[in-house]
Amino acid sequence: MASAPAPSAARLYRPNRFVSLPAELDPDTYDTSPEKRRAEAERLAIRSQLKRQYLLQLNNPSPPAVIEDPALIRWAYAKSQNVYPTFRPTPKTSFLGAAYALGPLLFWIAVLKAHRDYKEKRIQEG
Amino acid sequence: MSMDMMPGPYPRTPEERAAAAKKYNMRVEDYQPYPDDGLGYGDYPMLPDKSQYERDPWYQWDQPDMRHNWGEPMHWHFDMYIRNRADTSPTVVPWHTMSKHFFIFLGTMLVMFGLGAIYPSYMPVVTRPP
Repeated sequence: MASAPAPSAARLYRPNRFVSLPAELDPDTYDTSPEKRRAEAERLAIRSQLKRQYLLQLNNPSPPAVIEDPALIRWAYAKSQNVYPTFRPTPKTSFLGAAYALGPLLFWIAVLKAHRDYKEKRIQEG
Repeated sequence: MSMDMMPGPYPRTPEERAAAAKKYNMRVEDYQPYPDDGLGYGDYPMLPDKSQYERDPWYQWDQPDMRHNWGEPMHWHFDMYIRNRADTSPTVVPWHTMSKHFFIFLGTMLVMFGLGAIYPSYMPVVTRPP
């Protein structure tokens, strides 16, 4: 009975855009290589520097009125003011723009016209 | 906040990528901008699509309700992934099994209701004499 090895639990689960893989099924959890440890250490170093900056501002005897979060400011800027400068008309964006702007308009024009023609026909026929 | 700390256009050279990674407080290996489709993302990093539900509830976050740390790059759809909204936590039953069960049930019920509307059946009655 030489059949293929059983598919891994992660492949049976099939994570997609709406659900993610549980950590227990992810082989990355059980990876203890030095590269992963170095990556985690670097991330922790960045994290601790940021936390230090935050705590210095928080525990200041005369704290500022609002402690600004640069990540939040960058996020808000990127979503609102950085869209127009970085937009570029490409075939995909032109098609999407036409589809979203003209599509519903033409659709509802067609639906309402067809409905009114149908009612008109019924009125004429009595 | 000076303008060079704000998001900018898509990074083209490796130096720009390294500068953008440093700007967003990320490692250069972790930093992955959105593909340059002209859709308006610029150099904003593409983070994994996971909701804030999946973050450790027991860790001492700087903002516990958002499960977000000060200065950590926020997901583009951060406002969708907050804990009041979309949740991408792993489900007990796989998604494809759930959707298969749901659509088979829904399809069967719709077909039966449609057939019942096209071919109604009712008890035969006798018309009252006028």
